[in-house]
Amino acid sequence: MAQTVVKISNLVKRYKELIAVDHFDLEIKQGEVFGLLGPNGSGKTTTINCLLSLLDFDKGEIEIFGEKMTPTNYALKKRIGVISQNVAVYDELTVIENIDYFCGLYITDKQTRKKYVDDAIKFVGLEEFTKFRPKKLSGGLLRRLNIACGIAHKPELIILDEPTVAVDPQSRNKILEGILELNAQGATIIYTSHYMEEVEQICSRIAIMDKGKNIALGTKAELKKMIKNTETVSIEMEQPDDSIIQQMSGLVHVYDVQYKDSKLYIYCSGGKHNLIRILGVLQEHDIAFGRVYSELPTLNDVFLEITGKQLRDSE
Amino acid sequence: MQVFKLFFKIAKTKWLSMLVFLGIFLLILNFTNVGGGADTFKTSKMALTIFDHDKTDASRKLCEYLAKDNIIVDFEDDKDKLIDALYVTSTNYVITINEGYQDKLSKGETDGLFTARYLHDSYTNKLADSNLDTYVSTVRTYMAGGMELDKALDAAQQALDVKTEVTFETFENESAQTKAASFFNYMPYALLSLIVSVLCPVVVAMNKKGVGFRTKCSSIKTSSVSAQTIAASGIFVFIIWLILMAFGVGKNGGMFSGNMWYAVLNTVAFTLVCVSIALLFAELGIGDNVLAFVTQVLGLGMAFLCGMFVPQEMLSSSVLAAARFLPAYWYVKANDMICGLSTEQFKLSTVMMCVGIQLLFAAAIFAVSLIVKKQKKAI
Repeated sequence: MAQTVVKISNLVKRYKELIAVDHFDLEIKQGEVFGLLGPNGSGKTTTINCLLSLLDFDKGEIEIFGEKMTPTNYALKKRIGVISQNVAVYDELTVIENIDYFCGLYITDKQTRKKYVDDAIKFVGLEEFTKFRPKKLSGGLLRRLNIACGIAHKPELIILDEPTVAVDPQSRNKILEGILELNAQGATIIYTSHYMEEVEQICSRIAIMDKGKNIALGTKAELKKMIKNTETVSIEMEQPDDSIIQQMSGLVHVYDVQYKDSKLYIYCSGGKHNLIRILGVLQEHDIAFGRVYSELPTLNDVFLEITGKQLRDSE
Repeated sequence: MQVFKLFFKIAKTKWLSMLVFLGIFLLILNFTNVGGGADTFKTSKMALTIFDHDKTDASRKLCEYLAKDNIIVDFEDDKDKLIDALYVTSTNYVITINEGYQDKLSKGETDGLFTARYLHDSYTNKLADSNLDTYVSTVRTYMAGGMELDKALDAAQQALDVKTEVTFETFENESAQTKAASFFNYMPYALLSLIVSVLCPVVVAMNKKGVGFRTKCSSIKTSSVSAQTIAASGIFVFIIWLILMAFGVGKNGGMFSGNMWYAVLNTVAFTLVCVSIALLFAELGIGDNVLAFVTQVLGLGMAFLCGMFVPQEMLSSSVLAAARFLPAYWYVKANDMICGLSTEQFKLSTVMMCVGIQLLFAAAIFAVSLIVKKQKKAI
């Protein structure tokens, strides 16, 4: 059985009247790519800051690699790498100097550090830019430098706090591929984001946070099983009569029908041939329609059903 | 030693600012009166044009008198040409001795003796008017005493020939000490400019929010980060101080003798003031562009208000009253006393009081920067 890397028990963090983290529990196993999903202000970053002992918390316990995490547990800190959402590098230093500096905060041996710095540069593909100052780098390259600074000391646990905010799609994919590669090399990853597609793409297990609480936890499949929706059919068409909507609502497995934005949405729970039955109703009444989509539930649907709001709307 | 090395790596990127301020300091030292050059006095002469329409003994003697202390420039007696000459300052003052000058003078009359022409009111015109008035009134005084005009003219000439002896007062012993005094007086400007313009941006860069977060997450002890930062800052400031001192020694030679060691102590106190100002600016997050402006306003402002460039004894009491609220005032006051530039006698207790007040300023400014830091954290 895989070793528990992170164990958070009953964590509570208050800012005066506001409860930022509310009795939060979490266990992350070695080798996992764990996604912490939630809208802005849901308590993700506060939880990470508590995990790193950068914030005092009111209640609860945090263990990393089986040891209690404290601000002075430097041996434990050495095994952790952090990549924040803001690019945190020195503008006055070159790419290689930045990576060397941050690596040097963990690795004192010069020879080892040199090798680690070279490895990090290769890993993020900044070989051609080692003598560049950060201001000369593009946004995507800067993000890569930010990642290199966080992983150069070869940590066993890597915490990435929204590393793809304001990054172009190409660089985003590169970053996500890099994260999976780090995981393949043996690192356990904690990835926080409010981009559900990213979390779906790379995370093996996901916790959904809202208002400081862990409202759902499991694999993608487990999370999707938690909700009623199994399929959403959307059809581009004119506003149908109420009788049509009522007929659709009466179909087997259909639990909700809504018309919005020139589309008819039919929400289904279970069943294998929902689309055929729905199109049959339209054919029966000789109703013209445009494009038809059949979508499986996303994490956003999970979030929507659990919290009653869209993940992006709540930003 | 990562943090220690980082400090100097960032400081290295500010080398241009350092060179500029060192250059300015050297220029100030070279182009101002650093203990020499002001040891001679020369009466300034103005260009005079005289037209003698009286052509008598009396008018000739007046011409001779005026020629002694002024440069006589001849021009054609043409109104337009004279106005042009005055305009281009080929001459400063045109005096026409009117016909009947001797007769009027012998009768004791003063009206209409001369006609003067000049462009604007200036000190040269006032000086010329005053010279003529003095001459005429001296002649009249002798005549009132019973002298004939001829004798009165000679006596007046003789009396007015007496020149005021101008001597230069040197404070205590000239040479190295006086030169060093000027050096020490200008040093705060250089200290402030160099320390603030480099230390402040380095501290700002090192405390940048994101990188600070990264350092806190790392396995380096917080106490080690603080110790390395303090050590690097201390060594950096010491190097700056040492470089400036080396300039002083290079320029003035053996300036470290006797009481001058107190001047050195005085610079140490002011250095701490500069460090506290740099840290306050860093906490306030003053950016590079604004920083250069603020540093110059503060540096030059203190230099002029507190008597670095102009001796304190020449400043008005209201300026000095305001300057007391600036640390540079106490620096200059102590320095003037130590170097014998002040009329006050050297008193160790006064010097130490001035040094102490500077240290209090440093402590107060440092305390304010800590409050700002705390406030920022709370936000």
